[in-house]
Amino acid sequence: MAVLLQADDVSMSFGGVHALAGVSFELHRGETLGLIGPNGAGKTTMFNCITGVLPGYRGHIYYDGRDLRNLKPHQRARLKIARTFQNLELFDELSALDNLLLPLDAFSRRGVLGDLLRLPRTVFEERRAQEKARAILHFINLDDWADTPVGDLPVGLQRRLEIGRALCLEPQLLLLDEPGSGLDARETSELARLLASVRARFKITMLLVDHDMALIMRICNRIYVLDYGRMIAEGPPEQIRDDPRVVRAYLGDATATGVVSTEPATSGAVG
Amino acid sequence: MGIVASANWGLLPGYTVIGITLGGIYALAAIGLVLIYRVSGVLNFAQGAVSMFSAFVAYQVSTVMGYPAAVGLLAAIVAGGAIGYLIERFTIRPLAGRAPLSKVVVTIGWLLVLQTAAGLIWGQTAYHRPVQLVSIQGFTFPGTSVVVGWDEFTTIVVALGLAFGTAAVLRWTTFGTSMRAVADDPVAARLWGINVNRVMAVSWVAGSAMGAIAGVLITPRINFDPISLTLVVIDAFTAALIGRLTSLPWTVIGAMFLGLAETYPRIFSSNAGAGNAVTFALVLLTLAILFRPGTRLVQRMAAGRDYVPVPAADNPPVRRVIVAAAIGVGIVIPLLFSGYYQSLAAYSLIVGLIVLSLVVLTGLTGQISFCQYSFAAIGAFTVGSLVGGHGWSFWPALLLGVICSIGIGVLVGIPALRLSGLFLAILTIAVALFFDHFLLAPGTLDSFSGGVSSWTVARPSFLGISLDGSYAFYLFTLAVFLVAVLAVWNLSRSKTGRVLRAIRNSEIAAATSGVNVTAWKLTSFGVSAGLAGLAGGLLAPGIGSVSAGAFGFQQSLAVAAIAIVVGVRSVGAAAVGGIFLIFGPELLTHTPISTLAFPLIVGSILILQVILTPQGVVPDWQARFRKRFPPAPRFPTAPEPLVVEPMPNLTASEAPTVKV
Ligand SMILES: Nc1ncnc2c1ncn2[C@@H]1O[C@H](COP(=O)(O)OP(=O)(O)OP(=O)(O)O)[C@@H](O)[C@H]1O
Ligand SMILES: [Mg+2]
Repeated sequence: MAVLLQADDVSMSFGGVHALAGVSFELHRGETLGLIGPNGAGKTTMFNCITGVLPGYRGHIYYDGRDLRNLKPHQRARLKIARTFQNLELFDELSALDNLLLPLDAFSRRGVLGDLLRLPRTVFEERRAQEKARAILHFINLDDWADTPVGDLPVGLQRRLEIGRALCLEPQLLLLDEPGSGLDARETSELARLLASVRARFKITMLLVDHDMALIMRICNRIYVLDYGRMIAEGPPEQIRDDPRVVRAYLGDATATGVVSTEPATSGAVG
Repeated sequence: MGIVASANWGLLPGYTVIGITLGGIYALAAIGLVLIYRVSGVLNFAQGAVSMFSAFVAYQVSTVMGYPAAVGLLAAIVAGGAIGYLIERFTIRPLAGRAPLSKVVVTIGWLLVLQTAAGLIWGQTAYHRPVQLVSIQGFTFPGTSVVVGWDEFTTIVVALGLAFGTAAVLRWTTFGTSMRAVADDPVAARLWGINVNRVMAVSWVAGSAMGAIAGVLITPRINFDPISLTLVVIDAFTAALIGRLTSLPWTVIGAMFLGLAETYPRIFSSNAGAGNAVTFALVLLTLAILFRPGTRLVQRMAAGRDYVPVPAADNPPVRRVIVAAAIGVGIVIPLLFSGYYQSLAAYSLIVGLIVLSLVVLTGLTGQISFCQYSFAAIGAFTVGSLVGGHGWSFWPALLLGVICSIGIGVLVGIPALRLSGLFLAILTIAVALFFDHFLLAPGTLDSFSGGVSSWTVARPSFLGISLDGSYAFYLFTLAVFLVAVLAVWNLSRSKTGRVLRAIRNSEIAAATSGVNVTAWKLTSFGVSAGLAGLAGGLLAPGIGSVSAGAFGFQQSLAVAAIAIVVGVRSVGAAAVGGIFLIFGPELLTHTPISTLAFPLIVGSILILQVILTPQGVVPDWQARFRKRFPPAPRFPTAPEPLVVEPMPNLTASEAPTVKV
C-alpha cells in the first residue's frame, strides 16, 4: 500500500522544551491511523508541523513523495491536507454555511474584480459552491443551523462543523485533533458514526488524535504512541492496548484507565 | 557626497546636547505611557494630548496669570493627574473585559476632545510664549567647549531621575509589587486582595502626571501649539516600542536615541520634516524587529476580541424600498438648496467614499487604519500635479491616481501583515505623519505636492456633459458613490467578503483551509487605498484646488473616528458618516458654538459610542429595524435530514485492514 505521509526524524523545540524529538512514522493511503499519548506529548505540535502552521521544524515530512518543507499552510491545504483544531478554530462571526463555503472560496480562482462587479461567472460559481456546501451541511446533519453564526452553537455541533469544513476541502488526508474532547457520551457515539461514514463515503486517509481510547480502538487500523516527543510504540490496537511501555507512559495520567482496561469504555456500546 | 559636504559639522556638539535633552523629555512621556500600559494594558494614545493640555494649564498659570513658573508646573502636574484619573475612572473602567482596541479607540476620542478644547481655549495656532522653568543661561561642559544650558541640564536630570524613581518604586515598594501583580494578571491580583481599581487609577494618575511634566519641559523646544504637542505621543510610542512597551531602561535608551536621531538630520538638511522621516523609519524598524508574531506580548494583546454578533437576516423587499427612497431623496433634495449646499453635499459624498474605504479595511478584514487621508492624498496630488502642472486631462489622471494609491496601499500593507490591533494603529499613524510632515511638506517633493502653492484643477466634463455646475457635479459624485457602495456590498456578500471576515476571525483556520492570508490582506489594503485614492482624485475638482493642508493626520483621525461611530461593519454607514463629517460643522455655524468645536463633539460621541453601542450607530438602527420587519423564512419546509446509516459495531479486528 502506498505511503501517503511520511515523517522522517522530525524535531521541534520551544525554548528548552523538546516538543518533538526525532519522530518518524508512516501513514498509508486509505488507513486510519491513531496517534495517542499523554498531555503535552507533542501530538498537536506534530499536526502543526504537518500543516505548516509551525514553520522551522527539523527533519522532513513527505506527502505523496513530496517534501513539504517550503510550502506555506495554504499551499499544503491545496495539496488536500485538511485538519481540525483541538481548540476549535471556527469563523465565529460567519454562519455555519459560510464556514463551509470558505474552503470552496479559497480554491476558486475568481478574483476581487469579479466580486466587485458581480459578473455572471461569480453568480454561477457562488451558486455551485452553495450547493456543495449544503450537501456537506446535510451530511454532518446541521441543515437547521445553516444561517446561525457558529460562535453561538454548542461545542458538539461546532466540532461537527469543523469536520464538515475540513471535508469541503475534499481532502486526501484528514488530520483530526481531539474531535471528541468536550463531548458527552451520546455526542461521542455520534462522532464515531460520523467518522465511520466519512471513511466509507469519502475514502479519506485519516490521522486521529484523541484521549478517548474506546473511540481510537474502534476506528483505527493502527496506532502510534507518542510520549515526551518520542514515538514509543506502534502497532494494531489490541497490541498497543497490552504494550507495557504504553501503560507506563500513561500511568498516573487520567487516561490510564482507558488504556489498561481490556473492555472498551462506555462509548463502545454504540451501534 | 553633496550632503556630507554641505553639512556644518561645527553644529554637532551643540546638536548632541539638544538631542539628548529632547530625548530626556521623550523618555518622560514614554515612561508615563509604559506605566499605564503595563498596569492597565491600555496603550494611551491621548498621552501627548494630556501633556499638551497640562502644559497649557502651566502656561495659563505662569505666563497669563503671572505666577512663578514653578507654580505653573505644579498646576500642570495636578491637571495632568486629574485628567488621567477622569479618563481611567469614567471611560476605561467601564470597558473592563473588552478588547484592547476598543479602549484604544476611547483614548483616541480623548485625544480629539483635549486637543480641540485646548485649541478653543488657548488658540489653535497662535504663538504661545513657552513656560521657561529654568534660566537658559548655561555652563561650559568640563573639558570641552560645549555650552550646556541650565534648562537642558535640569531637563536631563529630571527625566533620568523620574525614570529611575519609577523603576525603583515598581521594584522595591509594596505598591510597586501590587502594580506588577495587576499587570501580570488582574483576576489573580484581585483574588489576592489587591484593590485592582485603585492600582489602575494610580497608574493612570502617575503616568499622566509624568506626561504633564514632559509637556511643560518641551514647550521651549517645539512649536507650543495644541497639535504639535499632542503629536509628541508618537515619539513617546517609538521610545516605548524600543523598550518593548515593558522595559523602562530600554525605553530611556530608546528615547535618547530618538532625540538624537531626530536632531542630527538638521545638520544636513534644512527640511524640518526630516526628523519625522527618521521617526517613521524607526517605528517601522522597531515594529518589524521587535514585534514579530510569536513574540509573547503580541499573543497577549491579540487575546480578547469584541464579539459582535451578526445581525439577523435581512429583509430584501423592505431594504429595496428604503434604498430607492434614499436615492430619490438624494437626487431631489439638493435641488431645493443653493449651489453652496450642493457643493457641500458633493463633498460629503466624497468623504463618504473614504468612510467606505474603512468599511472594507476595518469592517471586513478587521485592520484599523489612521492614514486613509494619506491614501486620498496620493489620488488628489496625482490628479493635481498631472492636471494642474502638466496639463493632462482629468480622467487618465484620475485613473493613474487610483492605481498609485492602490500601490501605496499595498506597500503600507506589507509591514502591516505581521501586525494587528494596536501595532497597526501605531504604524498607520506613523504613515500619516510621514505624509503630513515630510512627503507633502514644502521642500520635499514640490513637483508632486506643489510646495507652498496649491494645484488648480477645473471640473471636467463627462461623456460630453459638463460637470461645472454644482448640481451636475453633485449628481456625478452621487453616481460614483452609489456605484462604489454597490461594489463594496457585492464584495462583502461574496467570496472576497467571506474570506476577509474569515481572516479576521481566525487567521490560522483560514490558512489551513487554503486561503493565502498574505495575499488577501494586501488585497484589502489595496482595495481600501484605491477607494480612498478615488475620493482624493474627486476631491481635487470638487474643491477646485489641492493643497497639503487638506490631507493631514487630523483628517485621517476624524474620519476613522466617524467610521467607528457610525459603524464600520455596515456599507450604509458610509453615507451617514460623510454627511455627518461635512454637514456637522456647517450646522454649528447656525449655533453659538464655534465650528472649531466639531472635533470635540466627534471625540465625545466616539467615547460614548464605544461604551454604549459597541457595534456602531447605523448597525444598531439596522438591527432594530430588522427586528421590526423580520424577513420571511428562507426555507418554508426544512428538508428531511438524510439518516446517516448506523455504523456497524466495529471492533478493531473487523475494521478495514490495510496491508503494510
Ligand atoms: N506555540 C508553543 N509555544 C511554546 N510551547 C509550546 C507551543 N506549542 C506547544 N508547546 C509545548 O510543547 C509541548 C507539546 O505540546 P502539544 O500541544 O503538542 O501536546 P499535545 O500532545 O497536543 O497535548 P494535549 O493532549 O494536551 O493536547 C508542551 O510542553 C507544550 O507546552
Ligand atoms: Mg494537543
